[in-house]
Amino acid sequence: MNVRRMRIQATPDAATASVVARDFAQQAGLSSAAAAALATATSELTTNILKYAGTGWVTLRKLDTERPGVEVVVEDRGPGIADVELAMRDHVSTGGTLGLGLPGTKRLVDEFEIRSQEGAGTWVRIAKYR
Amino acid sequence: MNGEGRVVLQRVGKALLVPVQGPVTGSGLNELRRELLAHLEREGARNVVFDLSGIEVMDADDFARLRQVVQSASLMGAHVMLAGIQPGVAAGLVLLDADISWMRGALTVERALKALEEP
Repeated sequence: MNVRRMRIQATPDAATASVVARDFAQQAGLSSAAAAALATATSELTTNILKYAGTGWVTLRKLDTERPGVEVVVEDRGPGIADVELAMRDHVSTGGTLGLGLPGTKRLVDEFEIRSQEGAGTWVRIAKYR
Repeated sequence: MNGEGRVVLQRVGKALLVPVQGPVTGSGLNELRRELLAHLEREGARNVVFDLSGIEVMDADDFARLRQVVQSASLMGAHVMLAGIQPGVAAGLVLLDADISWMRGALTVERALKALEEP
């Protein structure tokens, strides 16, 4: 199985998504440290869904590209982020003490894309390669 | 995923070993904190080592929750060390810019126990 789509609406869902991310990464041949990084990034993003949007979706995909990897897309129809540029700066907190953790999440992966519109939701795609 | 069993605290000499099993979510940690603080009250303050070698993924929120448990124990006079944090978890927490100033780490439980016994 190369694709898995899951609904995120409670803490165990976020934990499961992170375990699937790690398994996919290991199957794709990533090192265990790289797999842990992708799993941690997935956990950060799905936890944001629970904290700020309530529910959302995560889609995990093994990439059989020349350089194998794993892509994780996390999306919700929550409140969105008013100022994405600001949220991508370090040490900016909007909700809890740790903020969205987006700069840290970006550092954990090879690719990071974000689209968000206030009142419409947030879409984040991350990927990590072998 | 949430089927954590009962928390089993192990006495190792005068120290207490706290195995932390993943995932580090709210309910499991709450039970761990209850058990740990009750044990500290009963048995008195002692050296405490959290064994994190079984944790493969820990995000910033998990780490913050763990910090609350550790600091509760510290307030009751326990000297706490975290042992066995996996390389991927350590690297991830640093990349996430997690605050690690509150904790002492050791590579293994044995080393943590030894470090806590030194004056």
